[in-house]
Amino acid sequence: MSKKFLTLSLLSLVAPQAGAFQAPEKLAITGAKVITVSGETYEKANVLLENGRIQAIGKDLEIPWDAKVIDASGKVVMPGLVVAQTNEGLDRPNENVPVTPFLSVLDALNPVDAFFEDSLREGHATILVIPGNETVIGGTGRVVKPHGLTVESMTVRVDGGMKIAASPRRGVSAMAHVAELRKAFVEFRDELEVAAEKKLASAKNEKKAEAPSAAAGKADDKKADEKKPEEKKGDDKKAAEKPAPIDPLQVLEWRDLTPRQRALFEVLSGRMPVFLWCERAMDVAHAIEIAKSQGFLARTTLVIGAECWKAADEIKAAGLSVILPSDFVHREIDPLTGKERETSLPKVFAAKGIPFALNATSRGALLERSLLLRAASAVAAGVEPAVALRAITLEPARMLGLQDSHGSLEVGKAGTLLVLSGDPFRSGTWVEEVVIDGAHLYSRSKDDRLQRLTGDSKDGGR
Amino acid sequence: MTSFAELRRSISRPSLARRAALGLGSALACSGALASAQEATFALQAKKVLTGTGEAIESGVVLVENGKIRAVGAGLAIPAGWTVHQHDGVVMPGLIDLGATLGGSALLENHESLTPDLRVADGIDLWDPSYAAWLAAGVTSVYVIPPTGSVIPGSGAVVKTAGAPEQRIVSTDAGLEIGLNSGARRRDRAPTSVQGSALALRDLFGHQSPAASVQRAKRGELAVFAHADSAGEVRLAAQLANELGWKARIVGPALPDQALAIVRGAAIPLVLRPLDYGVDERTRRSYGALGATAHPIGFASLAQGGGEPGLRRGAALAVRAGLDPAIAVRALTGGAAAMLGLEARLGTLAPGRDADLVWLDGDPLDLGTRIVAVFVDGKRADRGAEGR
Amino acid sequence: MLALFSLCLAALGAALPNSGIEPPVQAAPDEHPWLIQAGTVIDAKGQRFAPGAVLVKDGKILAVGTGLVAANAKVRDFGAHAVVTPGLIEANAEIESIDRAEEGAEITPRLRLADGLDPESRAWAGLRRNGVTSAFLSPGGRAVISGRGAVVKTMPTADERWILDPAGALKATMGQEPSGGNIVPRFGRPNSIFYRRPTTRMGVTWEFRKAFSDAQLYAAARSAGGPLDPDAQVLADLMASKGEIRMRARLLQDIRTAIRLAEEFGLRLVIEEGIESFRSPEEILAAKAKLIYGPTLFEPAGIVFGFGFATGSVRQQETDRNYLATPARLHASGVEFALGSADYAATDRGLAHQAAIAVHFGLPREVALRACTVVPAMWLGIEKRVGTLEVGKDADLVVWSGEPFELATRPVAVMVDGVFADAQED
Repeated sequence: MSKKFLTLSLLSLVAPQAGAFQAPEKLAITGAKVITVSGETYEKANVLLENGRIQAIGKDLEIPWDAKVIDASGKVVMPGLVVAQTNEGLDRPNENVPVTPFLSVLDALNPVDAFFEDSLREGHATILVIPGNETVIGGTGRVVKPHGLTVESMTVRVDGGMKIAASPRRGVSAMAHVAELRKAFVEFRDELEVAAEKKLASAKNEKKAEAPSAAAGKADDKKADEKKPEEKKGDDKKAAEKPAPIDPLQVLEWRDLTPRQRALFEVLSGRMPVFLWCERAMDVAHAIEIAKSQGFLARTTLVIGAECWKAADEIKAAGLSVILPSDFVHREIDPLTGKERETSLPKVFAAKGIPFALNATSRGALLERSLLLRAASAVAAGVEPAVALRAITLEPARMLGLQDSHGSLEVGKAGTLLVLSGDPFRSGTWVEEVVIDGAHLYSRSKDDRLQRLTGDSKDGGR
Repeated sequence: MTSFAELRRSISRPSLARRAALGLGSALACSGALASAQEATFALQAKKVLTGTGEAIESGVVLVENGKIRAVGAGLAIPAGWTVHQHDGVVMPGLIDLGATLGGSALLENHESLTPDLRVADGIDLWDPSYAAWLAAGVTSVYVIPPTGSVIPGSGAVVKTAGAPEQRIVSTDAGLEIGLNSGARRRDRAPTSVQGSALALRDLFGHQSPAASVQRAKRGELAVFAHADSAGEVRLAAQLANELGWKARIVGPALPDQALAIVRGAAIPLVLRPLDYGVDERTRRSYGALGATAHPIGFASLAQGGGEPGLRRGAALAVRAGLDPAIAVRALTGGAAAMLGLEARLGTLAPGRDADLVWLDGDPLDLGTRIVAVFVDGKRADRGAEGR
Repeated sequence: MLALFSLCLAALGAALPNSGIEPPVQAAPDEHPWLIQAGTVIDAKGQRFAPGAVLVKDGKILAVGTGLVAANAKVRDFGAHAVVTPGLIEANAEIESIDRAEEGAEITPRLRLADGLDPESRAWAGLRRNGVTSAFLSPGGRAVISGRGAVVKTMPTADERWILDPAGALKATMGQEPSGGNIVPRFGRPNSIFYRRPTTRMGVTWEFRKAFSDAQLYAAARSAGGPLDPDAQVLADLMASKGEIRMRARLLQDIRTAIRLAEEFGLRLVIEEGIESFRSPEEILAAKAKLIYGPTLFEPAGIVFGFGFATGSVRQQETDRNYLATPARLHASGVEFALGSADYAATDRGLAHQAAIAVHFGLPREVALRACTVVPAMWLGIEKRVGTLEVGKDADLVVWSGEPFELATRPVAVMVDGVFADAQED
């Protein structure tokens, strides 16, 4: 993990990296119905992008003479869609060791995976790739765009979030799983405490000795551990004298930590978003309790299974947002009538006013592959179109901490947008063009594979 | 041992000795404790007598003479010299289990799915210990059926749970068993499907089948016990009964009220599994929804030997769910006998019927009620008979 | 459902046996007719009423149009966005209410699916959620000739009234499916009924051809006074009457086999599924075969499709060759077809979904509606009772939350024979 990225993440810097895409300096999309999501919807308006960002949106904008123009007359422009979390694009979603907060998808992300090609085609322009749910603490994810040949050039945000599972992984009981999760945090805090005490002690020693050698200060962990017994005794005495407890999160700095510790330290400090997996309603209470006691509730988003609609009130009380499963209909046999009862999750969460993001999967049924079609299904299930639209743009952007740069069309935000052939929820609407950070990356008219499938190619798919 | 042919003759021919005994009965008066009540004539006096027809007689008397019931009623004159057993409880007919595979370990025949020639009576083990368990639970007659693992496993026999072996078989061919339920089908033996079963049955009954049981069932002489769980299977059973002229009974529907809705028009009796603890609410409600139904119902433990019948508990739980108590008692006794075509001998307390009686210390549908004594053919047959 | 049963019983007084396609026993007279109002009523005969209404009494349609009034009617107004269409007709449903397909033999022409129907199956609610009010239930594909399907209404009654045709078309299956579970005995003794032919595509075709050519020989022998063979008799009768055979054929080679066989024995052909029909619509046209297309299931991984290795079940291998624009292509080629969803009929990938996908991938909306109503009604021989909203027809209709077959709309209410069963039964 390079220092540059970590610094970036610490500062929460999100900058479109226009250079990697050789984006034109100026791009104009003209004559379209523009759905900004956050604000008004313009008819027959132009959108002007400059240096990868939105420069202006409006009806009678002057198009600069040197701008590249996409004529979108009669079409619809909307923000690029945001995938709130996925574990696709990785060779496999989880390490087979349960507690691995130190892993990062950086090392497993395959830029040429077909998943990214499909994502671009579906208009999924901003994607959090994060370890899967078969874990206790799974590792760090990364927000990427579906274009580029290196992970670095794809990256939108380095510290995308930590995957933690409150639901038991396969073959483990719920009790054992939650115990393991708690233990992981207790042990980690113990570890930090020792490190903090050591740091304080060495700071004192430095003062006393007045001439500490730089090398001793940077002694590696093992040596420090060997020294520990004597020093610890001394510390204990001092601790007895001074009852004020040490807060390792205040004492320690990022450079005091081993690479193993850093990501989880960021989580406990509240700087890293957490994506907490709850498969069943019963897991939600554990998830909230753990997030609260470990101090990262404010940065937490629940990744839920279909049954979790039953815990909607608990989720609302904790002020959390949720990412819905791609198949968002919960089915249950009513024991009294023997009839199947179907509950549509978006409807439940929308009715309760809980912010939610829809999710897609490239492995499911036809309608589960595209966020746009998922949103259409949510509308069919009774959700307001505006809410469904937010659930694939602004809501997931907010969950990823990207609300200031992504998820809606506003001046100053990233120039990431889609041109649709028609109304977003209308059957027969296609993603025609995809622009990411001002770069025109996809055109349906040039998508040979899609044309083959829909019969637009010359050989008619035969 | 007596052959079954002889057994059958002895069953069907009215016993001259019995008739003679009728005249003698009143002269042989003696008294004794209930524990050794083995007299040829005696009277039972109880707080309540349930006749098995749904009727209850307060402070009733049952007169038993040579294994048969001579009279039942309130305030009957007890012939001089008869032993009188008094008890502050309830007397009712012995319970009838409308389907159980007792002594049936040797009966499993599974390589073909349609074996109408097989008869339980040819392979029954009357010494099987489960009969004692059934007796202890107040069951005096069991319709013993072949194991239900094929479309036609064979025909069943009605057997008493106690008595001299040669007298225990009441009927060698009481009904033809037919399995339309999923348990009757197997994937590696044709037919594998319910529609395949239907076709096989239509073929069998449509052509000249050599099997006597099929011939008798076609003529309506032999009752057909069609096992059907789901609504679809019940529907098919009712349809086949109509089409092939069966005198049908539908056995074991998962949801009785649903089955009732399907067969009501066809007036096909229903044989229910006893309700048990731990069943889901839907099943419980379905039993309760029968309420005070006029439709003939009975209970079958469908036990495969061992354990206990659970009939009385099952009926009590059904009553708790909403079934009318009088209907439940009739289903356990008189109604069940009628389904077997043996109402002239079993199931009710009326003059001339077999003296198969259960004496309980309270309401039979009260789960706290204990069985005090069980009489089969006028003889005390429960363990207490020897014990005290 | 129980309530429904008792309702029907109460209505009828007693259960009346009935079968066949004769007009049903008159339901108990409604005291008040239903007046169903919506923003739009589409009658599937080419007319659109906006706003529209349907007046229903005693299970039949009394009137369709704009500005209907009925003094004593119970009114149900679904609002300006709602659209009413005729109840959909699922032309190919393979449902799970039958616990198992018959696997005892390969040629079982006398089997009737109707014998195995379970009125309490959850499949009926599943079909209704798709807006389906009538369906052809197709026997499974584990046998080469697996028997007759059934045509039913999707709201079972305690009597047999809901079964429109207990002896529907005879079903046969081409391709790999019938041979799927059969085993070739190599070592040891055959100890299973599945040690039998066919084990290949060739074998499947041969079983079919043998059954019919044997039936031809049988017919000749029978007319000369030979003994009765009930199975062969069914096939002989079918040939004599130039009857209909329903062949499940997915790949183009199987479609061609089906066309060949039907021609050989003088049968009228109905092709079920026809996944690869887009490859040669002309052949289907030339053969005058009826095509029941669908289901469209998977978008192949990475959209790169038709390449790579076939994996998974026979079903998946055969349906992975899905081509999403097939309905649009068929229509453009002049093939009239009905839509069907086979084993997905009672799931959320059922007919409403299939039609929406077809429209999404370019099939005109009114053609999709025909493919789910008028066309299957005609082909199933129930067009006098269902398929359009017309005076005197069965009151089978669907109320949609918006324009039908949109990805963002769904059936909100379904009426079968004048009885409402809300699609979202919650």
